[in-house]
Amino acid sequence: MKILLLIVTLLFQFFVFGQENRRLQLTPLFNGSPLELDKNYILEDSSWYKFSTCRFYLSNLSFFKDGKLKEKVNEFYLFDLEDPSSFSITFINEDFDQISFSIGIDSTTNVSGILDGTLDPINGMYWAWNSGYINFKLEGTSSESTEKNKSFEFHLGGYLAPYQTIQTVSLPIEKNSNDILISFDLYPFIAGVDLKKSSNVMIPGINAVKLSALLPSLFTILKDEN
Amino acid sequence: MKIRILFFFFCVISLGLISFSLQTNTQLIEFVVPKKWPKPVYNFTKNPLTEEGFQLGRKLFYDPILSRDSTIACASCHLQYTGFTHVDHAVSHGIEGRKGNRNSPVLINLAWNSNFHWDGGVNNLDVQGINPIQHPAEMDNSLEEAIRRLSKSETYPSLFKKAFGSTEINTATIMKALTQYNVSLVSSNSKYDQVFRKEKGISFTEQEKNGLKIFNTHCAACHKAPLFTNTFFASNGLKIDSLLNDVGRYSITQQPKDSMQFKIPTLRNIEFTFPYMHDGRFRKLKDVINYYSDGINVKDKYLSSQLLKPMNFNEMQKKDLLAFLYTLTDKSFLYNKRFSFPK
Ligand code: HEC
Ligand code: HEC
Repeated sequence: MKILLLIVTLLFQFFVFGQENRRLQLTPLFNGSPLELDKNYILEDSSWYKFSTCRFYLSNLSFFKDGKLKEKVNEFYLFDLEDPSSFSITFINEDFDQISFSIGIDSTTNVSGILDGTLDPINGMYWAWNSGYINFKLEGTSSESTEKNKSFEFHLGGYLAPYQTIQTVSLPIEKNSNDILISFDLYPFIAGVDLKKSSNVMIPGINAVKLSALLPSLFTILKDEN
Repeated sequence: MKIRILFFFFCVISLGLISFSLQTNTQLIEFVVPKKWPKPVYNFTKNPLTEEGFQLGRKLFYDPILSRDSTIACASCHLQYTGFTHVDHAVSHGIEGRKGNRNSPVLINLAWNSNFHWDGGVNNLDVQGINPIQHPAEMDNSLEEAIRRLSKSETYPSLFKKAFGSTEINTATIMKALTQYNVSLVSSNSKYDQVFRKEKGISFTEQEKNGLKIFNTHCAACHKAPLFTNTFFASNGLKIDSLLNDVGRYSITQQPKDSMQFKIPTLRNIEFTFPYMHDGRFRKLKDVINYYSDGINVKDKYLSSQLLKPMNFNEMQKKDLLAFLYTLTDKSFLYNKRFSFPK
């Protein structure tokens, strides 16, 4: 039975995705240098930062041509700095000049009960006591933290009005080459947070909304290398 | 392009056939909605009730295997004879005797509820079960560990296969099984129900009739029949416990209007579900009635408007009301063998 399933899926993938595999590739950075887990980053003002967890949901991936939606992918991708295979997303689409995607999980999905795959609560991106997905999770330590152990923790999420936190990123694509290269730089987030004021946001609410609004600015199109 | 589409349909059809063949062994159960009751809120299409799923959920509910040290089952805090609550403890006691900060609620007619927990923080019955498994003062386990243990056990993989078509156990199948059991806990055969169904030889006593009148005047707006809750949130004016500091729904919504609002509990089987309120502060039903009658501070700024008028019942009225509340006891539910420890 399992083998049959496997063959069917493989054939399916071959036919549907066949020759035209294209990739959306995220390059994680911190202030322009490659972002690595647990590496110590020292900024010009001699403040330091280490990141131990960085994960977020990317959903509603959509392709546009001349302002018209051509295709929307119904997948929930989970980016995890610990897992480089999560940095790239394969897709098929012929012709587009703009893409958009959401950071986080829409409200319908948030009330849809138990889900599996990347949406399985086992992935640690789910609040059980206040049912709903954590859209974006960043944890680490920093000289700027007000906590004794210098830690900071941001679990951003919330779908209930008026504290919705899902964000949309829209990026123009200049040349229609094979891979879309997007840089994901944490710096604007860290710069916008002011760790001295708040080193922890772990619940939905106004603070989660404010910090989530910083997220779209972390994504920019990288110059195409092809 | 054409070939691709054809092949796509071929795949869809074969996958469909495979999943159909996996499903054919299960025995579907019809969820019976009692006459004149509203439609259930629970979405059965995503988790169709089957005998195999129900029995698996029942087994899990009574099995301490889900807790970190295998000492606490769901049933430890939700006992059938007491309407599936934990009697005697004001707040629940979990693993290693750790105290939680809330009274375990009854599990009755959950299919008609859209929010769960005293603060409504849980938005779907299917995800409720994650809470007790992970809660440090309840089962203090991780989902990974719960899945690992169930997968290793001798009995569970085949039971999951029977219920959900695969021996592979994951969060979703554990939750769906638990829900199939929880959602089946329907209580609709109290004396109150029998009277309203005009069953032969059953009628209210004078005292119960008087109690019903009082209830309709003062209580029914919130504790609305037939569920004996309108399933919304309200404040009945209880003063905040300074140790527990529980602000209720506000902690979920962060909206000032929700301060001190708690889920309006059902009153079905209320005779046996003591202690009462989210923090279990009242041990006796009499104390609750005394509170509503004489204890509410009408100047309390969170108090819901339905309770602004003092009731000041006399002794007779209190007894009448109590007598009516006792008509909500449903022994055929509390002693239903189908819900009890599976042998
Ligand atoms: C240590 C005691 C304890 C254990 C063990 C426990 N519960 Fe509970 N249960 C509670 C408490 C306390 C609440 C209320 C939580 C709150 O309001 O924050 C609750 C709430 C619930 C609710 C929501 C009811 C409603 O009307 O809102 C359901 C359903 C439930 N539990 C099912 C389960 C299941 C299934 C298990 C086993 C996997 C379980 N419980 C294990 C104490 C417990
Ligand atoms: C404004 C809405 C409202 C009205 C009216 C109201 N209640 Fe309640 N009732 C509640 C809420 C909310 C709770 C839960 C409060 C808490 O735990 O903080 C509750 C709890 C209870 C409980 C405890 C249930 C349990 O499982 O712990 C009983 C018993 C009860 N009410 C009986 C009554 C009676 C009898 C009346 C009429 C005299 C009444 N209520 C009127 C809202 C209301």
